Amino acid sequence: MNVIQLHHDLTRIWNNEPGWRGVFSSVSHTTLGKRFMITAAVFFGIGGVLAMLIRAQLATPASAFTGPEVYGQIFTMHGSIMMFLFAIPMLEGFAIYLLPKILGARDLAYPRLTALGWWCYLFGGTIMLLALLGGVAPDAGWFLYPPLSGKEFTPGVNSDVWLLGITFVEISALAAAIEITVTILKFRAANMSLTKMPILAWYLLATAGMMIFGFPPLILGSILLEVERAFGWPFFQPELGGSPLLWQHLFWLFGHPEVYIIFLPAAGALSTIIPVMARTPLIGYGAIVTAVMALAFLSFGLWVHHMFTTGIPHMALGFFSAASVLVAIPTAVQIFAWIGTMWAGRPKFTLPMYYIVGFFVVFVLGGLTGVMLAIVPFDQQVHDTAFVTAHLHYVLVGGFVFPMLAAAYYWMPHVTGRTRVMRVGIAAFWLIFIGFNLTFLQMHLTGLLGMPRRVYTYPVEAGWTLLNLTSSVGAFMQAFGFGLFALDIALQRRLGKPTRRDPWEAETLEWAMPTPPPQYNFASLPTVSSREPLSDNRRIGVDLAAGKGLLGRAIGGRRETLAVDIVTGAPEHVAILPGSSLTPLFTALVFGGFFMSMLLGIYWLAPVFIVGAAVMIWRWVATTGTTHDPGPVDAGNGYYLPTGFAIRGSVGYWGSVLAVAASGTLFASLVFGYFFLWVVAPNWPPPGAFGAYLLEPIIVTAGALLAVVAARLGLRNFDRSRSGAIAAAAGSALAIAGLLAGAIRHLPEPTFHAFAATGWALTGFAVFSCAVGALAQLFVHRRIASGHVIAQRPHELRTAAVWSDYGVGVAVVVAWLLGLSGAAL
Amino acid sequence: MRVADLWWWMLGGSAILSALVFILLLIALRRRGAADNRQPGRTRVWIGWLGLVMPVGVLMVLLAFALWVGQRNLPVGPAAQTVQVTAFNYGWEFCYEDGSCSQGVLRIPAGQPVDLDITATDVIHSLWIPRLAGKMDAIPGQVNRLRIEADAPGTFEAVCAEYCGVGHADHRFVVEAYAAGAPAGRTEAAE
Amino acid sequence: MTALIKMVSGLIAWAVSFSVLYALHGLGCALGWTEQAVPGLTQARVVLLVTWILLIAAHGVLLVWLLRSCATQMQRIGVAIGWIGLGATIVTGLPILAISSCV
Ligand code: HEM
Ligand SMILES: [Cu+2]
Ligand SMILES: [Cu+2]
Repeated sequence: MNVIQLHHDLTRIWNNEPGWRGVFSSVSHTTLGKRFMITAAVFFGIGGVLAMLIRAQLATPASAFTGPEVYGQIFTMHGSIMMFLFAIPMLEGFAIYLLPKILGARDLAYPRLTALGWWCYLFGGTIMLLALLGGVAPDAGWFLYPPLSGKEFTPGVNSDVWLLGITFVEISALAAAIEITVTILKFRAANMSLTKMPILAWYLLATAGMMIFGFPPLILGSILLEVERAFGWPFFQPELGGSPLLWQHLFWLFGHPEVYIIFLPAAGALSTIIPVMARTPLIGYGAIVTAVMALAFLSFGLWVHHMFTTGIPHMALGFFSAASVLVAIPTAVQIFAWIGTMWAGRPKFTLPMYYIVGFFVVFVLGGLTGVMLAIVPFDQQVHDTAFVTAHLHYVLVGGFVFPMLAAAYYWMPHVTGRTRVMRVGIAAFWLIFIGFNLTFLQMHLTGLLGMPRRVYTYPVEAGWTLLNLTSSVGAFMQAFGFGLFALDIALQRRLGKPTRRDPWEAETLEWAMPTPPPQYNFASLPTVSSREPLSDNRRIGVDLAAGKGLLGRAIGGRRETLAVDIVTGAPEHVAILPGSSLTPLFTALVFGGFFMSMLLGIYWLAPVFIVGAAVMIWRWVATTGTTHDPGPVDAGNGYYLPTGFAIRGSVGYWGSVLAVAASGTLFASLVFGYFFLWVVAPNWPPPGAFGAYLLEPIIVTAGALLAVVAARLGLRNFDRSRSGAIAAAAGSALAIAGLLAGAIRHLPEPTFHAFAATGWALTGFAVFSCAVGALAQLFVHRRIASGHVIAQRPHELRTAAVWSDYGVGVAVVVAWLLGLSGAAL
Repeated sequence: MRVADLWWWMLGGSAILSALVFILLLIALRRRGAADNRQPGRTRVWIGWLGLVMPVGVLMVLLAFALWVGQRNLPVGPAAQTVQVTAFNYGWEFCYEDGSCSQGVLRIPAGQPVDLDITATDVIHSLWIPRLAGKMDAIPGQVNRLRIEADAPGTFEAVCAEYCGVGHADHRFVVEAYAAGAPAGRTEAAE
Repeated sequence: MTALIKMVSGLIAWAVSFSVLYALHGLGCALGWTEQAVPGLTQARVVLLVTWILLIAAHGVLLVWLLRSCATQMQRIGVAIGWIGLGATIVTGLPILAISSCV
């Protein structure tokens, strides 16, 4: 085929729709990745302005700039914006933009989900901002501890804004996490086995995995606290058998991994950039993968180090202290691997290198104070003081902002196709670097001298005046630095000279495409044989553009990309991706309606939006798949591959498995909460007598068996699949009936005691899960009728079975747990 | 005090370790040596010795020391007195074994271990007397015990360390340690 | 996928061990297992010690299984992670040896 014609056709297929419609309907990872990053940068600016307000207030003792009410909103919003609306979305945007490009694919696994994520982020963030403008922003600190954040002590909507706004944004984070994981597992260049992936992909795989297991505890905590605030279910009220510590456990079970979720992608950027700048391969690829995995797991065993002063027995603190100390080791491995790489090579001192050196200085100091904080007796001294403020900024700014600034300069030529214009970048670096240390270095001392965090003022006699004043000067210096940086980036975008392809002489696939990148990334897809495809074949970019790779074709207007075997990277099938669509926007609007009706207290309206969401999602999945599969296609280079419609382990299946894993984590956290309250909270057992009950659990079990067996029969023999699906849905419905009967007949009112509240929460969750499972089965039933699912295209049957098995599984656990609890109470 | 020892050791150790990292980094940047990554031994030095063995060694010693210090500070063994502490928005109440109570001032005998049984009635606070001991949170529905000891008679400032609302910055009290033997409350004749 | 899970199995085992120890400790202290079981050892500590040793043994078994195949890089990483899991279970359990159980 004519090469020009190929590019022309691919552009037509992959480009966003023209005009305004394209703004709303784009599902392209390049567009959305940039949008995520720009939005996050704007939030960084807003969070930065709030930081300046904090520093202006603290510059002098007894300052009259803001009062304590406003100050509470300012520091809470600064922290919440920086963590949830800047750091997480920024790393998502970074991954969304780069991932397909470094893996040699044309887009992410679920393009419409990318768009949904961005809209949810935008809407959730907007809710937070409007609250800030309206003076009703959250004001109980970024970890929103109840009872302070509860209804009694925060009667306004402040806490609801946080709980609902952040949860809304969290949905987008979970969507991105699932998408990133599936993309890394399935959408890679031909023959790119897992250990031939660029190292950044390992980092992002670990990050996304951590998000899947780390975010659900927070989402659960937010739901529980919101339900407590809205309907008075006493999860966190000690008088009624709740415990404020339950919130702390759930929050930090998310909150500590969060820190590594933020750090790992940035570390991945460093592992990518440092070898390029040092002109030598990264040393210890295997060791780094090992270290990254160790970080991903160990960081889930640290959360109690944020709770060293809550009165937990010292032995338990010891477990967490030991784990917190251990986590420094994989970090040290990476630090020395990076230095060793530079040692082995000949580093060029480009602008990204400035920020990398800045990273080393700031992050190493932050890491060392982190080890200090892992030490129980020391932490009990400095916990909740300015020392911790200093530490957390050394880690977050050192471990995320500096690497991201390096990454911005490194990948800007890729995004814009232009080179840097002026030397402002260097000046910006020095302002940021010096300003940062001037702000936070002596803050360690301020904390050791006894200044608590989150105070809006301090007495002159305390003797912290000079330390605070210099901190404020440093902060404003930094602000100028960031301003200059923004200017530099804007100049590069407008005035920079076009760059040649691969200006840094890097080895990864994102540089094997024209810059700025076309929406389809590669005119044909690469095959790799090592981790350095560009040094294996210096002309790879030209070859791919000439259509010499895989899938260098534009047939039927379909968006095609290659899916490979998870481990070996052998080409497996051709994935066909959806094009531009308004569905994500509308779905996000329906979600937004739900959150707004909760926020405004119009509770009767919320269920309407839940039904609306179910309808939207149904219609969403209904537009996938096909009724006439084109059959195996000629993918080029001698590969004849089936399409994604006709295989068992489709991306839809893997996405469902991961979504179920996230949901299961939420469920596990809820079960943990139930036992935690039972064992630890005061005022247990609840007043009154409870007995065991068996009838309803048996009904639920019967329904579950029916659902599981019916789904199995349908999978085994396609002729039975239609009736199987109906029977499976009926089984789920029976389980729901049993669950509800059990709760109504045996549980007291949820407002009566935390036991009843958790019991109802467990029941509600199980009913919801079963309902999802039943809907999934009804959905395949329709799909069999419509001809989308046939014996040769059975994978939706498997996917539906995942959902319905999970739903009834949850139901069985809940039913027996509650049924037998009464006997032990 | 042992925690102070811990701090100086950690500060010294951190200074040495960061110096080591920064010097290695500086040399790595300036060497501009030939790419010698082909020599296999290097990875072992960087990752094995510097990345793994050195931190493991340092950290295990630190952890053992820290657990030992923490264990010593625990409220085990007899205390001279137990005081019931209640934190609330925005004040502190201290009730002593003899049934008397005081607000805003905690009186303890110097030179003797005293246990504070800390709780709160509304939101979470945290009791912190920087010069006497680490923090202990005051959590509604739960009593946490903290052991303190003033070496010599004197006054010590104390603050609330957990954000508890608009009055948090001023949620303070003072500790007055009187010479042991003198009956409680007699030292502050000036009051 | 199984290859990937096998690769990180050492750390999964650590996560399980860590949760078991923490949960058991919380339960023991809540139920007041602070009587002397053996002279010098409280009941809580005996239970924790025994569990800890069993968990370490389980890590050992896992490691032996992982060591049987070292052909691919992922399998070698899996072995390293097996060692890490073992080490992490030992280190995070150390407080059982010396710290008072429930204060
Ligand atoms: C860029 C310059 C920054 C400055 C000058 C700054 C300054 C501050 C200050 C003064 C505080 C309040 C400390 C207190 O309560 O006494 C604070 C809190 C905080 N900052 Fe920053 N910050 C900056 C960037 C960041 C970034 C990039 C992040 C995260 C990615 C971040 C996360 C936080 C968090 C989580 C808190 C705690 C909020 C709370 O106590 O609820 N900050 N920051
Ligand atoms: Cu942490
Ligand atoms: Cu307070």
